[in-house]
Amino acid sequence: MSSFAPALPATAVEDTRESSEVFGVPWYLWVVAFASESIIVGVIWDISWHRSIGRDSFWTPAHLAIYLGGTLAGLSCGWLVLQTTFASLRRERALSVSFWGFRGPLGAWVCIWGAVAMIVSAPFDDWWHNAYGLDVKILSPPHSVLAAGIYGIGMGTMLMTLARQNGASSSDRSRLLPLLFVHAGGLMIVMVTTLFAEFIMAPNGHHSVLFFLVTAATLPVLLVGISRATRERWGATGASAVYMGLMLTMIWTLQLFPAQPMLAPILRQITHMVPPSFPLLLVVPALLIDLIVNRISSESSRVRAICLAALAGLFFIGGLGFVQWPFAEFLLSDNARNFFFAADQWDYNSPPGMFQYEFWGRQLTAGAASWISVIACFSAVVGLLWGNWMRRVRR
Amino acid sequence: MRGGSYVLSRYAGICTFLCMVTVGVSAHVGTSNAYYESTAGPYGMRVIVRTPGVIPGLAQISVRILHGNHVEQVTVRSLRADVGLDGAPPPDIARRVPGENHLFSSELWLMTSGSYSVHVTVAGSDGTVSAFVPVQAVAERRLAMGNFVGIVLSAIGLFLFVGAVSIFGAAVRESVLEPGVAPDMTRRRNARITMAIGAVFLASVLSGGWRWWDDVDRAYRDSIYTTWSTTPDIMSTDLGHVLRLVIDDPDWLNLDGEPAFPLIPDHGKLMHMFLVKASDLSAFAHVHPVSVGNDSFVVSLPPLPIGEYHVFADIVHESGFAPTLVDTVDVMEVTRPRSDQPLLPVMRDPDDSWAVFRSSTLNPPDVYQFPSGRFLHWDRDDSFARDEETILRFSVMNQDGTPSVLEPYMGMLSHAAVVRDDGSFFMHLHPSGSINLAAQRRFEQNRSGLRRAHVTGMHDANLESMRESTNEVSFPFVFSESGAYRIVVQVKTEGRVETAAFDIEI
Repeated sequence: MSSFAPALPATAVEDTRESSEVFGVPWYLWVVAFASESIIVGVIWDISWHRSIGRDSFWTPAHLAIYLGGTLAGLSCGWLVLQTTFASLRRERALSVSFWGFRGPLGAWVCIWGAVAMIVSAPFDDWWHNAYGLDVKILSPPHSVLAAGIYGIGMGTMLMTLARQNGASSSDRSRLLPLLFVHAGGLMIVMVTTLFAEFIMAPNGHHSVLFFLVTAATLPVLLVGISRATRERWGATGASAVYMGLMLTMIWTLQLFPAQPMLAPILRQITHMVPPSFPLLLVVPALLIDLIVNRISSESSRVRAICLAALAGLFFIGGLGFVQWPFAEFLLSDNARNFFFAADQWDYNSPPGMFQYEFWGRQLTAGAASWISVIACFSAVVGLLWGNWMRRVRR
Repeated sequence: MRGGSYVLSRYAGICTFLCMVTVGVSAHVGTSNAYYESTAGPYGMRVIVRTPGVIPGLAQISVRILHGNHVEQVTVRSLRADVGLDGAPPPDIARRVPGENHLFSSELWLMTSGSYSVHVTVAGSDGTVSAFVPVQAVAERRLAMGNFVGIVLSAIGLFLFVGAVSIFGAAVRESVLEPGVAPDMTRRRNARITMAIGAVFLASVLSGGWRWWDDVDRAYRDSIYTTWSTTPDIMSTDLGHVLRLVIDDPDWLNLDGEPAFPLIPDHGKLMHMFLVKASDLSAFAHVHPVSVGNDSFVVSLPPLPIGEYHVFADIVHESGFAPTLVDTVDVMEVTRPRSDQPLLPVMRDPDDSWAVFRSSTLNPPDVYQFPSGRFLHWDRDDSFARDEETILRFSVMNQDGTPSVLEPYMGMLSHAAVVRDDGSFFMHLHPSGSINLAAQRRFEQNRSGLRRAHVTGMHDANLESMRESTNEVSFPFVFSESGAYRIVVQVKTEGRVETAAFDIEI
């Protein structure tokens, strides 16, 4: 593909125009940040819709929020690519990579890929419903294509922010860029925890092997990667705070809206939108990760960096277990059944029973904890490698 | 994702566009659509429920008002047998079909497999009428991927695959370079290597997705509804030949050796069995086996010509779920009863009936002459078409051309069976449609909480019709698939059940 790329002598184009900025941040970063937020809010809203009302169409507000985000991200990045390729914006062109004869930031290409994946998932999902019936679960092949697209847009947003941050001189670097990156990282955490919500969100499962297995495999890679990539000291903690903040906002907002189930059988009377479960207390393990990852410097040997990353994975599992284990017990108690913690709120088609107040699944044992810790260490090392690369991204 | 060439290669040539693969059977055989008609009360209605074939899926409901003044509103709601109206969502208002003053339509979701009912309410200046229309919600088919959809998804899948690989290459080649610096040869080479590795990685991800899809597909195919498995045999006893049907499905009995899903009688019989000669549909029997033990039914075999017969046996579970057992039996195969299974003497049920049809080519296509000399006229004033609401109208005439008054046969004005020539479709009909009376009663008994102005049922409609002397009978029906069908109609006049057959090509 590179053979089609236009030649790029850095000073060949003397066009001094630049992409317009708002508060020192290029317009397209604001757009993709908004797009990511719109998508993830739409996804959480949609899940709540299915748990509370059941019946939907393509034109529900939740669906519109999801596809608005995908369309916005795809169109804005497409426009940026066209501008960069044909309008020869000086800075954007210097901060671009070649792709099929066009030029644009790497993150823009990832966003465009994500938008296409999101859009193609719609007819795929529609065919799936006709072939196999409506899939009333999060993880299905067409939903995975949609999730890949959403991840693409989230990842593209992070890369575009990093490229702008890493490619600019310190005097030219907006203070908002690190915040935008942490915001994008937080949304990535929401995306991951939502995709695997069936395994990790209900507090009833927070003592189970499956819960620790899924969190160990999926979260250290994200948190260590974010912590390593950002130039701020508390990247993982900040991203976790964004995750918790967004989830809490959704929990407290959704409960305000009345809802009535519209599908039979209705096994539980619902009067308001069913919110997601209380978020995982990720700020604690994320804080431990930041403390450890901050000890990795450019002078650190590869072995030392890998050892520290593995240690971060270990601390993640330890920290998560330390806070989540007793907190899950609290969430199953009477004290959590209120607006703030929103515990004990179930889908309209979930038959009431004592299972609501019990722990599910195979309980964590010392043996299981040991091999899950190994997975967490591996996940964190992968996060280190990913974060190291993101730290150097300039385009 | 398993888009791309995988899908195309797998499904290419299977069908042209969104071809339906009908795999299973339902309450009747070949369709689980439900038809209902009632003329009782201030508003008569004909309800057709076209089931989605997949679960969860959207059922299409049409309600035609047959009589009554100024209908203000028609509402429909779905309810599952175990929770009834207490667990039903608010009713949906059916829309009036443009250009049709008396036809309303709506859609309802059937979310889980099992026994459902559509509750229809018609309100207007003459009052309110409501009725339950039992529906069997089962997965019956899987949609195969058409060429067009396959090509489009494959093309976009290929685009995404190549795009992702190219992004890997761009990431290694240029993403960490200082602004404006061109990549050197080493970076270009590393980019190509990364793209190759990325392609292998993505291919393995797609392969995993392929296997996942296969697993989902296999699980879905396993969940497609098939009725209880049975084994029929014919035994010779001192009282004649006896047909025994053993339900040998491993799920039929619970751990205590009793039926896991007990049966309830329909028209006073636990089972309505229909025997149709498989080769040419020229012989037909409607008999009523009795239960022997927990898994067997026996019936005295009528004197039928030798040959292979389709066996269709209607039963009703307590939930209102009404499956049809399907099998074949060869009447030439006569065995002695095993010594460990002594066979009780089987008396013939007085409502058993059978007939051997003369070739339809000897009769005008719309007139059938019974052995008694009476005639059954088929008033074929409708132009029959696939998937369109149809009324099958018949009238019984004496030999001298005067009307012959119908008498109730098992509480019904008439019984009919529609069979496709290959046996892939079978439906037992009454003037009130295809729904099961016992299932409808079950829903009415479990209707907790509904304030009803008037509720009609199949039995109400039939009784009302039977109060009046008539020689005419009609059945609501939809030919949902093309093919050659035989319509068998049973009527009772002057204490004698008579059976006629008509053929139609859709």
